[in-house]
Amino acid sequence: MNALKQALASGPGQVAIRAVVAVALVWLVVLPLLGASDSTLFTMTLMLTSVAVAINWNLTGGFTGYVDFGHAVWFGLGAYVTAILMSLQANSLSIGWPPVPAIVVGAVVAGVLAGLIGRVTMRLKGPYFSIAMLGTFVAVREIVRTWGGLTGGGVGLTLPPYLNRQLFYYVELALVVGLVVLVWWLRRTRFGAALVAIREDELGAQMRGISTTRLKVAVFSLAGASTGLFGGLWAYQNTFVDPDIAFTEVRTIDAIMGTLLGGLGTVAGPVVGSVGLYWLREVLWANLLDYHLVAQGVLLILIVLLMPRGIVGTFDRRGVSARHLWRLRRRHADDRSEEVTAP
Amino acid sequence: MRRTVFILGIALVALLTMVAACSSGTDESADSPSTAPGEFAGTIRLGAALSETGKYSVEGKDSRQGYDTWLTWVNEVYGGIRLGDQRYRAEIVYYDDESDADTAGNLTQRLIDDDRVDFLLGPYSSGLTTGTSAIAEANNVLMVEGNGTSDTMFERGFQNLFLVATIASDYTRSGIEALAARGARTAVIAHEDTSFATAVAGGAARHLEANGVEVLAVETYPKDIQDVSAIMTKFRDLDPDLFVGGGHYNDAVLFVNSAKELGFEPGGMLITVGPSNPKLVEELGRDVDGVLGPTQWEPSMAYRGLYFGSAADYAGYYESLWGEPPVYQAASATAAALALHLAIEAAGSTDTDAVRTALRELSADTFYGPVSFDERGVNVSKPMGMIQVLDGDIVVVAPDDAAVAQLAYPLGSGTGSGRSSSGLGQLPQALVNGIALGGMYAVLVLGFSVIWGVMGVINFAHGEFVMVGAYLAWLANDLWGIDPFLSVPAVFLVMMAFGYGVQRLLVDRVIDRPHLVSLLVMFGLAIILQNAMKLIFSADFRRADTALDGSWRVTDSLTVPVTKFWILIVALGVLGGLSVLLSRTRLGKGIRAAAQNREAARIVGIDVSKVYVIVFALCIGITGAAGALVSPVLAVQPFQGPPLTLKAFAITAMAGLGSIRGALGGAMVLGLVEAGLAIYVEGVGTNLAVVASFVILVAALVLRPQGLFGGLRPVDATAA
Repeated sequence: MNALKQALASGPGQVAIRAVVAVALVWLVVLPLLGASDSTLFTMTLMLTSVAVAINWNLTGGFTGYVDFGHAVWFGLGAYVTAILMSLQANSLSIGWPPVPAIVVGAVVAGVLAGLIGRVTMRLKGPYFSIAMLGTFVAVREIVRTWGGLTGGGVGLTLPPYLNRQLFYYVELALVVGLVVLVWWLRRTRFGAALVAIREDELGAQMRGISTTRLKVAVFSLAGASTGLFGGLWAYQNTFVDPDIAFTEVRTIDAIMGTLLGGLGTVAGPVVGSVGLYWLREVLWANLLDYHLVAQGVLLILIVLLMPRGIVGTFDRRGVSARHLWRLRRRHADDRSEEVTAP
Repeated sequence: MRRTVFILGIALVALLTMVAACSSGTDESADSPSTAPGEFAGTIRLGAALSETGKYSVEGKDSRQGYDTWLTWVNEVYGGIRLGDQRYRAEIVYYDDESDADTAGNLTQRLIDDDRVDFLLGPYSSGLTTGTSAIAEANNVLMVEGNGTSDTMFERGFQNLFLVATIASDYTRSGIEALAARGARTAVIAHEDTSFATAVAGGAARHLEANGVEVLAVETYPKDIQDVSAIMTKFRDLDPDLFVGGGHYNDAVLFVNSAKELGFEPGGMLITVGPSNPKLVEELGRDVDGVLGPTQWEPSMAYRGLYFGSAADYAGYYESLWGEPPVYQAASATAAALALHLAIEAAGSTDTDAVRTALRELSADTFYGPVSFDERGVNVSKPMGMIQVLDGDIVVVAPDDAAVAQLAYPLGSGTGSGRSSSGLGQLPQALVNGIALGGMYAVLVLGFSVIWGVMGVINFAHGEFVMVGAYLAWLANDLWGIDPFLSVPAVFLVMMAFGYGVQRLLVDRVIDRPHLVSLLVMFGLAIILQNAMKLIFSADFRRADTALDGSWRVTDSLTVPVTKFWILIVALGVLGGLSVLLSRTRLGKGIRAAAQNREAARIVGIDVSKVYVIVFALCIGITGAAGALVSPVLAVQPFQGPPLTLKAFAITAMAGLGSIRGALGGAMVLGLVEAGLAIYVEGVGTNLAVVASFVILVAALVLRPQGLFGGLRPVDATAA
């Protein structure tokens, strides 16, 4: 196994892998031109959405170690703000916004609210933060349901149907590629290293002059805005939002499972894990039907118990995070000697 | 960078294979009956995404049987759809949408693109139909449906969506007209705040007003509600002629039980979902007598059509195929397929525009009632029926041409006498409701709190242990008629054994790992338990019967629910017992020591891992027993757990980990706040009560991170 890994990581292997990535990216780009059906593109777009949410979840859950059990709240908020703006009416005349500004404002609102709520909930640690976010999620859903004048209440809002699958596919593909690059770059900056420092030892990070509150709230807000962006895109494609459809726990669960499967706190982990999960689900869904949710629960337990580092972490023993922590240490002339690993 | 690229490469390869698998696996056709070639000139292919799993699985199955009834009939009895002189075999491609909007949309797109269906039949529920009909519209494929009736989706100007059933806002129309004619003058409305129920209630308000009935109050509540006593308390004091309410089958059970408990006796109770389902009578027995409900269709209705014969003939045919009588969701599905069938034959082709025109012009009498569509695509010629439960039978009482019995109205004594409320108003009832709720919460959270306090494990599957215990009690009640109060000790022992197994198999492995690990493992266990129970018992709501039911009426505006009173008594007993165990026994001393400092406890010779096994098993036993205890009050169903887990967390974090005093105090605070909000806030109080526990939770954690009551270990929630 080690030999295999070494072979994979060696020079010629790297070239081959880069080639595969390049080919695959090109293939993803030309896929619609090769005559992929709308339904294939739609499936791919939904998968890109879950990849994006997992990447965003990993920003707080994986890098800073703040495990967010209510992340789907930003998705729902983005979706709702977009839907509200696009379906605005005055004197029963539609004065709805065009989609692009509506979706952008949705992302901004989600980001700002994430910042405000994060300032409060991120004062809590560990499981308290997790449950406070779950509570936030449920509370926001009920507020949206109750605030019927603005949100359409339990009935929800309908949007003008515009179902250009190809356009949505390209937009989301570009955004996800951009997001991966952004996270990869962030991870290499001091900002990224500081986030990991917060996860490993928040008090220690604070003592070394890292403004932990500012940083963790900033990244939480960034993740919220990004998830809100995809929420807005989703609302536009779904042409309909109601509280139970826009705010569904499944989105958080999928993001957590995808990230864990791929590798917590790694750049590629959420991507690999979410794609793998989607693929697994197609297999489970096709063959197990009635049992697939039970199988999913079993899978979750097995991942957590047997593969705590995920696919990426398992293949990459040193761990991206450990390497960067080491760099961080050098910068701060740290003398801590214990091995730091991803949880 | 290299590794990132490498790993992204793996992801992309997986993705490629998946897409390849997706696009190659599309030519599979559904399980339609095979017929000899040559008999048919071709195939007309229909498609439907239906819920075989998830929350709509029961109704999804009924819808599918409805579609399949038409399919079997059209191919085997009728001999295929006629286009000119040719006969065409009909085929339906089905997918399971898992009751999920994204999946339903995706599958609808797949049916259109990959399976190339000629027409779509609708999914189950308004929510799923709203999303999928937009896809049908954008792709210019006709969708005919019978089980998505919310008004909003017919206000979008769609050209391709047709509904054979009566639209939601007209659900209560014939019933209200009949009741107003019999002298009803005042009414109250309570509805679930979902798309369908809101449309029904909005329509009811309009029909009430149009018939000169004054609407005294409108209350909303969130779905999956477990307690409506606050709403019923408010309504009781308004003393209306009519109660109109509903949204979900379980709500009907809650309304009937709660009205009885609180002594709320309106002249008529019109409940929008539930009464037409024979299960309700089975479950509630005499209590449901006189309750009214709308129905799309009943086998006893006097409708008759060219195909399938009369409503009763259809019911007989359906029963011969499936071994059970049709519910109206099934009949609606059959009628949708039949309407499409008639339009295709009228058009003489499968061309979308031709069939759309034929649907618009369709005017047919069927076993389901008359069918003709207005410009929205809604069948406006079929009136909604109203049934009443009379001596345990479900009989149609309105409209007149479908009625088989006389409407019984008014019932009981509640005929607008105008109740004089005492000076205290609703305060005594709010206190009683709150304390009753608090007693239930106390016994429900105890196990969670002690496990967290002693072991530091957050049992995310807590609600599922309650659920399993409740199922055990229900099973004993259902099979052998054992009262749930009597089965509590047996359930305690069984659940203790179960807890022991879970501790040994899972908890032991994660107890020293980070919080996230144990949280996720327990969360995985929760998913397994929910879905396993659903596979065994289905998602139907159950309730155990107890001899300790009914209520004590203290004054006109104050009643004490008997079952909840006894639950409180037992809860106090359990809390007291555990308190004595912890404070007065050697074992309790060991437990407290292990909670305070594991290492120190080990050093002084306490077998900490043994303490953990005992605590976990004991707490799961208590938790399961609590489930058994509340099984007559809270609906027993596979997904009842998560809200209970959240409340347990809120109460524990607020009050103090492992503190018995805290569990009781926190539970009472939450119970009183919820009951108070629900009674004193008009309209949306019950919705707000749901949010309350989380606001309390976050506020308590941020403002007083050590917990309000202290505990076995400090809460210490604030980050560095």
